[in-house]
Amino acid sequence: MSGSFTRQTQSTPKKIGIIAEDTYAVKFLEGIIKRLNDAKIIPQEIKIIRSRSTYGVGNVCSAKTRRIIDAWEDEVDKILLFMDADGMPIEDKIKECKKIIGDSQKVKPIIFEQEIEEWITKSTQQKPSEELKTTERYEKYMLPNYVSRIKPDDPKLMNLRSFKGFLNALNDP
Amino acid sequence: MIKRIRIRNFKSLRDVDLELRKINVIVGPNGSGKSNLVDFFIFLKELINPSSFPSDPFQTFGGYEEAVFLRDTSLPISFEICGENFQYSADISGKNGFTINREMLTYKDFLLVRTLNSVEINYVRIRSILRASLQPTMSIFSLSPESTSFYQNPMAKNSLDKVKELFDFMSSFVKSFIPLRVNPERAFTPVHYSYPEKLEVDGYGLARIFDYILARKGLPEQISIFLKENNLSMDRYTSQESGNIVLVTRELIPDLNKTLPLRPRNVPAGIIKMITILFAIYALEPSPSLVIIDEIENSLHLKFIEELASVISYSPPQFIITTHSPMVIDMFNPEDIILFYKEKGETKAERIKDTEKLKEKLIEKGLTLSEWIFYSPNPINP
Repeated sequence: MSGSFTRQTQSTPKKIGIIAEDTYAVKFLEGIIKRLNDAKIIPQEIKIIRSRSTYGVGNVCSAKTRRIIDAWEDEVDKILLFMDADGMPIEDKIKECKKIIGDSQKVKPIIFEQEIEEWITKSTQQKPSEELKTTERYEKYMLPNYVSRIKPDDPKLMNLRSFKGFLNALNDP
Repeated sequence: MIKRIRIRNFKSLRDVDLELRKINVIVGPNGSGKSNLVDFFIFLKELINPSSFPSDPFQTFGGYEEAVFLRDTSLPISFEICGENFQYSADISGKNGFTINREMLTYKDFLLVRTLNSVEINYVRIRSILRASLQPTMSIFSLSPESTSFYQNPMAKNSLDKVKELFDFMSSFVKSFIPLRVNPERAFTPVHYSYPEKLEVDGYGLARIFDYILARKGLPEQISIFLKENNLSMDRYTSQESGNIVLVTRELIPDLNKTLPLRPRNVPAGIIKMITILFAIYALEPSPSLVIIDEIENSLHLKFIEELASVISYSPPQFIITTHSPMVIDMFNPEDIILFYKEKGETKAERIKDTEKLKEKLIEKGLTLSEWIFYSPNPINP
């Protein structure tokens, strides 16, 4: 799987912005992108221009997020907007996002079926953070430490809709 | 977690009844009573866990007259606090000197009733009663198993473990509230090694807690992460001359591969404030159940406010924070907001009604939560 993503040529870095619900998620995502860059798994180098946390699912789809997008739009190639669906239908979440992002081609919503920890447990059957709390005494502040556990070519991870969406957004020209 | 608190006649809080959530963000104009709510917790802490003897929780405020509503000393100050498994109320007067008239504590199967200087502890299941007497200025939280005596039911001896559980609860309760109004200069002031391991409202005592924690178990991981992310390291030394514990901060300049020692006055105020708050949340023993922070935004850049919002959201304690900052308000959900305003000299507190409707309205109008709160003529009713 990783072969198809192996970077062929060094080109101008793609500039992206990250919006997630909290600072732990932001640091985790920054760490994963660094790993993808280091492993040359995505064709174009990714440069994170800005990252912001909005605090809480209630605030991702808000005018504040629109303000952040407006402030970034001219400076970045892509804005990744991460949201939890918490088990709700993903299409409803995308619809909710559209109210804020409109038809902007630069903003790519990435919806976790449950929450970001599904990339660690590679499962969306139950709340992944709860599973981690039980098995590993996980606390939210530890999330950035889990970057090393993410293997981008793991088939189970690649099967997750949210991770596929994430890689597609990074590979998208 | 405290579910509800009702305060009467404390400063401008003539009769304020608050349902509390995990996060409570108090917003209101200057003079609306936000800081008076923080002062109430400073008063409460001093009432149940006095720092000096004889106890006078009003000393900090300049006496009872300065703490009672409209300076009317004929009024009693009273409050009720309801938690998940406890309820505590007290009624205090100050006209002829500070006196605790009545206190009541229910905890699991226990009921403690104090009337002036007499206390009865009832244990519901086996009807055993303990009795004790107290000075009028000392709270029931100053009781200890040794200061009470069984008098009635011989079966009471079997309830000793339960009584111990009650006193364990009481001793952790007195340390469970941490009110903070951080003054960065005070927080990094050297502290004598004999000072107790406690964090004062302004942050004083941090050096002593740092020394204690470092010697016992090392820095909590959350604090180490914060320091590392900001290219800082911290240590302490004890001055042989004064016996003071002095905090030492070093800044790593990665590009130059240099480490720069920083005198306390050269450590950025926002860094000191963050460290103090993180210590209050993660380093104190026992861990606090409620952290109250006045004007949380002071000295903090948006980046640190975002960090704090995540800490507040995911760390165990309950939080009450006061703010004037749109940046802070926009970090939280409409459900978390409590609006304070003043009417006829008294503080009124209300939550936003129909927050789901408000969220839809904010998206529809393209407004942020803070814009709604500051610009709407009626922010409570969207």
